[in-house]
Amino acid sequence: MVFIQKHEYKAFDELHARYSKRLLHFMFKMLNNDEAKAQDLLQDLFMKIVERPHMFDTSKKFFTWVFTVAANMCRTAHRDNRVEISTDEPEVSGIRNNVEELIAHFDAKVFDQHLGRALENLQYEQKETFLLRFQEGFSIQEISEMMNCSLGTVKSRIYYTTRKLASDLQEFKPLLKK
Amino acid sequence: MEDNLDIQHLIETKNFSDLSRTEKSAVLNEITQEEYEQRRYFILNTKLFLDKSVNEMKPAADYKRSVAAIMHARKQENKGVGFFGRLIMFKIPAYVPAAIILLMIFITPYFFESKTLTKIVAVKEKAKPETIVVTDTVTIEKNIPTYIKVPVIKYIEVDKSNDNSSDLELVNALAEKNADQLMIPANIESAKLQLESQLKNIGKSANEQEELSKFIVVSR
Repeated sequence: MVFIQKHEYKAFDELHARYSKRLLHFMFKMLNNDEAKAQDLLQDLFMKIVERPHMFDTSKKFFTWVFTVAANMCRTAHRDNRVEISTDEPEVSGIRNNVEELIAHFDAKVFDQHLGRALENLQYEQKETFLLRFQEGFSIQEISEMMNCSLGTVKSRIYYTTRKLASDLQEFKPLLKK
Repeated sequence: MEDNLDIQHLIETKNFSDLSRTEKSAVLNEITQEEYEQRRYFILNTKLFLDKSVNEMKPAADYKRSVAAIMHARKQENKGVGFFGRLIMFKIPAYVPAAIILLMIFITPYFFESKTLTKIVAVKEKAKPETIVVTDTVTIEKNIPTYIKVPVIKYIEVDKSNDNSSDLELVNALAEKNADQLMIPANIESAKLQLESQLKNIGKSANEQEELSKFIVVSR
């Protein structure tokens, strides 16, 4: 980030390579699987980093900072009602000869789809907390700093969200056990 | 709530079969074994699915060219400009000058007002000057003749054979007034010497004694 502040393109390229996929995926999930919107926000985010690199405090962890910015951008987009709920049905792409593999792939796709929908039905803060914890692997402390709320709130959200989702998706228990 | 947190931590980290006896009893106080396993499998698989799906999407890279152009331009700008140029081009947020202007607006009248007040205070001070006591010692030398009150004894010789009533009356009056002082010595000279010896102890110098001696009037 220090090199980006010195306008070194290579530094930008490195950051993009390291974090863009994770950021895009996080935004995609937060924006109810709207990929186009997620791509737009990702582009905005990296343009912000390039145009206003002084915004970043180099003494802090970049990964946490950039996800905080991304989460804030998603929150703003959500508040502006720019997010539309995806109604796409699960697709099975590619034909495989191996039937077991096909079934497994189908099950995984279905689970993924159901998980996506279950996440969409959550309250925004619950979804954000859940994804930051289980998708991005942030600690409770980091999430509380990123979301500007207490540790207790984060822990409580994680506990009740997990309980609800596990209950909603209990039909996938055999699949999950594999 | 604290129990829930501990359970959540256990769900994320341990299989039910790996729990210690104490942990198992703590878990079973809150939820069943089935619920515990259900949540654990859900978390593990969710992590797996979410992690896998990260690679399914590819971030668009078309804007990278424009980013490269912006960065290149910025770098060139910074190269061409010296220290003072950078100082002039240094960007500050818009609220900073706005805040400074507001501050000036609020502070300037305060300074003017405070000057006026100072003047008023000065006028007041003139009207009511404070008394300043300066203690100092001034020595003034002045020759002031020392006067000492000395009782004067008049010795009056009265011819009693001559019946002069006015003299007798005077003597009687004096005798009454200065009864304690009116002593008539055997002779006048000795009385004078007595007085002079008393004066020695009063006067400071010979001159003063001389002056004092003038007061001694001996009349007959």
